[in-house]
Amino acid sequence: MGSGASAVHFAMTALERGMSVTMIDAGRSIATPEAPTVAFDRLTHALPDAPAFWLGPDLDGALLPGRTREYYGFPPHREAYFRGESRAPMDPIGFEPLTSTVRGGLAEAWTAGAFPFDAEDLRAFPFSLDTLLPYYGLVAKRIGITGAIDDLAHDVPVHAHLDAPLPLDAHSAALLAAYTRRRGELTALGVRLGRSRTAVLREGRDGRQGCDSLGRCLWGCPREAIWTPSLSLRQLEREPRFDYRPGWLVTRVALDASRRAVGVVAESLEDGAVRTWEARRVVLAAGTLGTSRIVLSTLRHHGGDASPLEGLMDNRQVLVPFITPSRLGAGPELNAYQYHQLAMGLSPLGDRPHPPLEKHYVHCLITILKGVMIHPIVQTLPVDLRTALALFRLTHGALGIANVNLADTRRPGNRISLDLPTHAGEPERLRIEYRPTDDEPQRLRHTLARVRRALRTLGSHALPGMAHVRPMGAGVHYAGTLPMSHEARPRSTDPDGRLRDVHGVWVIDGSTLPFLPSKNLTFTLMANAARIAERLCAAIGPESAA
Amino acid sequence: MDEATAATLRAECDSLCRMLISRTAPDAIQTLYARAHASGVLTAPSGRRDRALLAIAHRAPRLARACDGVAAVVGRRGAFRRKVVLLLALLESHPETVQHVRWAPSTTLSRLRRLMGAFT
Repeated sequence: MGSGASAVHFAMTALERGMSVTMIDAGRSIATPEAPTVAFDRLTHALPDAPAFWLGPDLDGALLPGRTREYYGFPPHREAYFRGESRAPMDPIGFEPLTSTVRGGLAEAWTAGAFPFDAEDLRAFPFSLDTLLPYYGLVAKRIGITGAIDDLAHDVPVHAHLDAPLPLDAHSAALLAAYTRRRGELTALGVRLGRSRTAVLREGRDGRQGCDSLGRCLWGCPREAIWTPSLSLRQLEREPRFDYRPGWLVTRVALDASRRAVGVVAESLEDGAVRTWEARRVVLAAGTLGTSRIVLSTLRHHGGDASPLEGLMDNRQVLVPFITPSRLGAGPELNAYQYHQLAMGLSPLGDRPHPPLEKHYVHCLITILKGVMIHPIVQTLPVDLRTALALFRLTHGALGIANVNLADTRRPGNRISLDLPTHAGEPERLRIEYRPTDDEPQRLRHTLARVRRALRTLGSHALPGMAHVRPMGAGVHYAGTLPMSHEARPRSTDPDGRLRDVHGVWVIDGSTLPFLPSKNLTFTLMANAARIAERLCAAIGPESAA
Repeated sequence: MDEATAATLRAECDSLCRMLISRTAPDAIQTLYARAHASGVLTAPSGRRDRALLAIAHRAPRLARACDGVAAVVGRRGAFRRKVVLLLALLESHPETVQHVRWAPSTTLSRLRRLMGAFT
C-alpha cells in the first residue's frame, strides 16, 4: 500500500530477492515541469502563462496576508502534492496534517535531506546502527546521496556510497569558512557544522540528469537530479514481476477467521467501486496517518481492539531567518541549487542548564535564500511594500533560513482514532490529537537562544521577531503509532515490522518508529524498508516465493 | 463587473503600481488585477480604516505609499494591504514586470550599497 519512499525501497529489495510485488496506490499523476531547460531567472519569460504557473489559473495561489506565515511560496501546482482524499476525512486537534495522494507520496515535495540516524537516535529502536548502516549504503547507491566526511559526521554517521557534494553557493561557503575559523569556540558550545547530506545527483544516471543549477528545486527539479520516489517507481514499472495499480484507496486489510491477511479492500478513486485484492502478505506503507487508518479500520471490522493508537510524533520545526552582513549588497544566486547545503547540529549540553531543557540532538538545515517568490517575504516587514522591496533587493544575497528541527517522543494522549460516521454511507473519520509537552515554550526559547548564538559566531544574525514556529504537523515527519519493539504488546510491530495484532501484515513506514530524532526521517524509512524486505524474503524462503 | 467598478479598479491598480515600481500598470496587469477581484480572491474593503486608506490612495496617489506604511503596521490583514500584496504577486509573476520587482534600478541599489557599506 502506497508508493512513497518506504514503499519503493521495499519493493526494490523484494524484487531483487525474487518476490512478486503488487503496489496498490492512490497514485494521482502530477504534470511534468514546463520549460524544463530554462533556469529560474528566465522562467517567467519562457512560460506560456507565467501568472498561472506562479499563482494558479484563478490567481488564488498568491500568499496574501493572513493566509500563511511560511517564507517559501510554492506555486499552486505544487500544492497538488498535498491534496488529501475526501474519502479519508480527518478531524485534527492541535495538529495540521498534510497528506498526499500523488505518485510517490509526500516525499515528492521533500527537500532531499538524507541524514542517517546515529546510535543515540536509535537507542529506543529494537536494532542497532550496525544493523541499519548497510541499508543506508544500499539506498545511497540506488538514489545517489551527496555529502562530505566532516564535523557533521560526529552526529550523522557516514555510510557507503556517499558521493561528493555539489559546489557550495557563495553564502554557504562564507558560513563554512567562518565555522572553520571559529571551530573550537563552536564545538565547545556543542555546535557542529558541515555539508548537508542530500539526495541529489552531480552526474546523470538511470535516466536522470545531474544538477545543472537551474534554481528550480522548490518547484520540482525538471532534470530529476533530486531523487523522489516516483523516479524509483518509474524504474520499478519496468520490472516484469512488479504490478502497479494506481487509482485505489485501500480502506482495510481483509482477514480470515484466524485473523490472517488474505487481501486488501480498496475503493476506486474514479467511481467509488469497492474491490478486494487477494494477497498472501500485506505491506503497509501508506504513511503514518494512512497506515493508522487502515489498521484501525481493519481491527474494528474484524472485532479487534480499535481504541486509539497512541504515540503520534512529529518534529517541531522553527524557521529562523538570518542575515549575514558581510554579504549585504551581493546579488542572490538565482540559478543555483536551492535547498540546504549546510546542516548544523546542536548536541545536548549535558547539565547546562540543570535540569536539561533539551535532552536530544537538535538538527538545523541552513538554506540560503535564492530564487524565491518575493511577495510572501516582503509582506512580513512592518514597512510599506516599496521600502520592503528595496530592503529585500539589498539584503537578498545575505539572507538565509535555519530550519530548526526538534526531536519528539511517544506520549500518551497524542493519538489517532477512528470515529464512526454520523450518517450512513459516509466514511469513517480519522481523529488526530496532539499536544506538545508543557515545557515546550522553555525548550524552544533555550534552543533558539543557542541557534542565535551559533549564528552570531558564524557572523550572521537572526532577524529579530521573525522566527516562525511552524504548527505541529507542518514538519510532515509523522511517526510512532505502531512502534517496533522486542516486547510483544498489542498494537505494535516486532523488530521486523510485523504487525502483532494480526497475521501476515507488515508495516514499513514512519508508524513503526519508537522515537523520532530531529533528523529528517525519510532516509531511515527507506533503509528500514529495505532491511524489512530482506528479512521478510529470507523468512519466506525462495521456495515459498516462487 | 460594471464599467464604473472596472474603471475604479484600473485607477486603483495604476496608483498602486506606480507606488510599487514607479511605472504605470501594463494592460496585462490591469486585466489580471480586475480578474482577481472578479474571482473573489480579493474583496472590497469592509472596515472604515481600509475604506479610508483606499480612498486616500485613489485620490492622492502620492500618498499611496504612506497608506501602505500605515497598513503594514495597523492593518496587515486588511483589504488594502491584501490588494497591494496581490498586485506585487502579479507584478513578480508577469514577464513584463518581473524585472522591476526582482532587480532594483542600478542607481538606487548602488546608493543603498554605499550606504550599507558605511556600516559594515
